[in-house]
Amino acid sequence: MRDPELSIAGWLLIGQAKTLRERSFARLVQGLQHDSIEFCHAPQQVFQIHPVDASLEGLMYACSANTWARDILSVIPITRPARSAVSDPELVPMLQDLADIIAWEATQAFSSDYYPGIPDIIMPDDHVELVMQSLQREMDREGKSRQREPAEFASLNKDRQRALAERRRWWFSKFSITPERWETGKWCLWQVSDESMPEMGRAPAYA
Amino acid sequence: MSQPTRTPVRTPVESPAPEQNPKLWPAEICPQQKREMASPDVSP
Repeated sequence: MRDPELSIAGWLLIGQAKTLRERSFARLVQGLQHDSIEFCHAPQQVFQIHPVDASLEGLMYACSANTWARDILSVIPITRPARSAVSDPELVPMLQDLADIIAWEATQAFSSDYYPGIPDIIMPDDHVELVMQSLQREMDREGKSRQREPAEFASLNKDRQRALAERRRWWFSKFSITPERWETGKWCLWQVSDESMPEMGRAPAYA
Repeated sequence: MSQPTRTPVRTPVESPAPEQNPKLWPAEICPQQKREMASPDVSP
């Protein structure tokens, strides 16, 4: 079934996408015409392209060869404003893979036998706490609406909380969003990792 | 000599407790809520 946030063109393209960057690109495509392309975050702007290879890779290459298209794909908003007074800002739909990965990581922190942090990441305790609170607020809201007890991040031991916060930062960086870039409010398609999407469907059964 | 037949006695058992709702895990929430849970207003 098609993600309602994904255009039909994007839906067709994401079937070919193998890497995080290719998947993000597919999610950015709003429309394809005879010799031009439009992107979700730049409505009413049409970019002329001349792909020579009938593939997703060829289409991305053609976009990188167009200065204007290349630039617009370097400054994509990270957030979308809250939709109501009782909700919070959300990632733009083009970062759905990042949202899925973080939700999966958050569950793994509870269910995985081994859940290490990222040694190269240095993060103060108060930031770890802030991240746990931010993860919890949506879980609480959703638990209330479904009348189910939400997982409590505060119940994780401190090492797991830290590991989850570090892994969150690590995954944001895979999508080009370092703490420094986060300050700008924009992410860059060309700096998204060329790694494959992790296989999240094979996670062990939750407790 | 044959043993007298005994009527089986049913041992009372505890009735099962009503099933509790299983806990809600982050991976179970819908795509839009996952985008919200990622908390882009908090620095990575």
